Amino acid sequence: MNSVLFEAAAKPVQVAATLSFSSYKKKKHNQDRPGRLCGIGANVMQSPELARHCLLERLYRESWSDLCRQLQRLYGNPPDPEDIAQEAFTKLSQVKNIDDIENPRAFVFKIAFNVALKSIHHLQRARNFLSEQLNNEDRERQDISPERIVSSQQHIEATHRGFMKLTQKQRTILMRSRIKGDTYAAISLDTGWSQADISRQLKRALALLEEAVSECDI
Amino acid sequence: MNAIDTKVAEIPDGVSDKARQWLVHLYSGHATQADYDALEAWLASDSVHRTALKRVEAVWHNIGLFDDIEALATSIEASRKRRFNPLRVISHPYHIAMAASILCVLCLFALTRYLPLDYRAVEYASLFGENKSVELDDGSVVMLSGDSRIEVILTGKQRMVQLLKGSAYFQVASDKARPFHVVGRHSSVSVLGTAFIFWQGIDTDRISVTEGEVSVSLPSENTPLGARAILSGEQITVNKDGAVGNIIKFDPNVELAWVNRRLIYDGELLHNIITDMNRYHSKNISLKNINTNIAITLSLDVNNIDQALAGLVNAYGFKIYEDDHNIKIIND
Repeated sequence: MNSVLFEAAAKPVQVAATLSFSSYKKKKHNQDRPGRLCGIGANVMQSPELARHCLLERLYRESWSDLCRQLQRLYGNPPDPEDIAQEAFTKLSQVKNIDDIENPRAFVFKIAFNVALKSIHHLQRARNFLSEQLNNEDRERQDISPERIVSSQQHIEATHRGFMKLTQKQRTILMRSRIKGDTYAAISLDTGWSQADISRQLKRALALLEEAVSECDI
Repeated sequence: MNAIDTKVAEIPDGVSDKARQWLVHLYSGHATQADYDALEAWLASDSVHRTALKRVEAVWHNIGLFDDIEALATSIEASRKRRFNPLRVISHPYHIAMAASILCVLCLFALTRYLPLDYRAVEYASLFGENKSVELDDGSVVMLSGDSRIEVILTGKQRMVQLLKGSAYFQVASDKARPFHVVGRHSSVSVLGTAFIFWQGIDTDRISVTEGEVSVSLPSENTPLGARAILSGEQITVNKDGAVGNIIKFDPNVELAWVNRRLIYDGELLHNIITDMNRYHSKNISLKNINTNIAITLSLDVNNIDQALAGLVNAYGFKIYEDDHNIKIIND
């Protein structure tokens, strides 16, 4: 890793291309390695590529443990939380316009959850079917990109406002189904709510969220 | 493109409702091929149907793009609210023993107290290679060994912990009004305020008391009469078949070595040692064609598991095969 960094110091342009998060995996001691290019003492006149590298490195340092922990809590093991986190960081490192991301930490969590959900068979089947049936454009929806978020920011914010107005029960069911990927049987087992009730609550919640989004279009 | 380009007014209420119903069913976990075929036919029958489904699917997708997704995801576990229903637990053969353990503790509790119907459960977990200290709301501290998981339920009248995976060292805050129960795979422990290690092997629970006194029960023992009192410095082992070992003295420096990231064994069975190593090693270590009842004396740092395995392999003439994810120890 150090050799990569020293090479990058000589040729900053290559940093983004050579950065590999696989080399970070399970090597937390690297966080404090001497002679690193970012953080206190770093050259304030950084090239855009070096600034990008520093942003990714700082994000990795600050988020990796929390992300792995969160993934393990939500999805267990397997899937390996570190593999998912690594894939999320790798995808992030491949984003060209990384500066457009207002909240990089939230962004990497979103990517990671999306990656984890792909390992859940019934969800992936439904997502593939919907992508195929709705239109080709939506097929790309399974990947998250800054452009896609920016273009629909208004609707995401409206959905969020609507979400915060839902009952706690509706929010819990939505999060468990949409983010954790639980089946309704699993939610029922944990909460005691009947599966029929869970379906009803989800339908009602989705209707309210659609209404919230439609209001922002008026 | 997540933008929702279709207004509600353009879609009849009945169609929007049906589209939501389809989406909710698709993500239920119960959708069959026949359901998919029926939905495909429904979408093909009218373009408005497709528009309605696209609209609700966009909302569904947007939920995964919230900026506070991390906090919301955290709240999933924190807000888990359960109603006690033992029949739900016994939905899978693997859970039967756990369900029996829970029933045992609850029956103990119900002898003297009113049983609350609602309670909150919070889960804590440690990663591979990580010891993690958790302070519970009652002031108790739980040190989880690597790759371990507990579920904690604290009410005004009791404190319940399920050791779902791995091992843990419990330092229980004294609260005579609220007994502290720990339920493992093959046994359960009840205390008022003390410290003990609950270690889980492949088919064994081992409880070692470092302070005070605990009461150890089997799942089949649903009264306090069957419980065994274990004092400070004493240890008891319970096997999966319910066999209870003799109460013996133990060396806390050995049992608690993992807290300082060491593993120390004196005549421990090989498969139990491998179970512990797997909590601290990034690769999955497995044994093949090896008598796992070999008793081994060993001391190692958890960062030096590879060296320890190499030593074992040399000592017993085994062979070791390793790839990116697995280490297999084989007796050819």
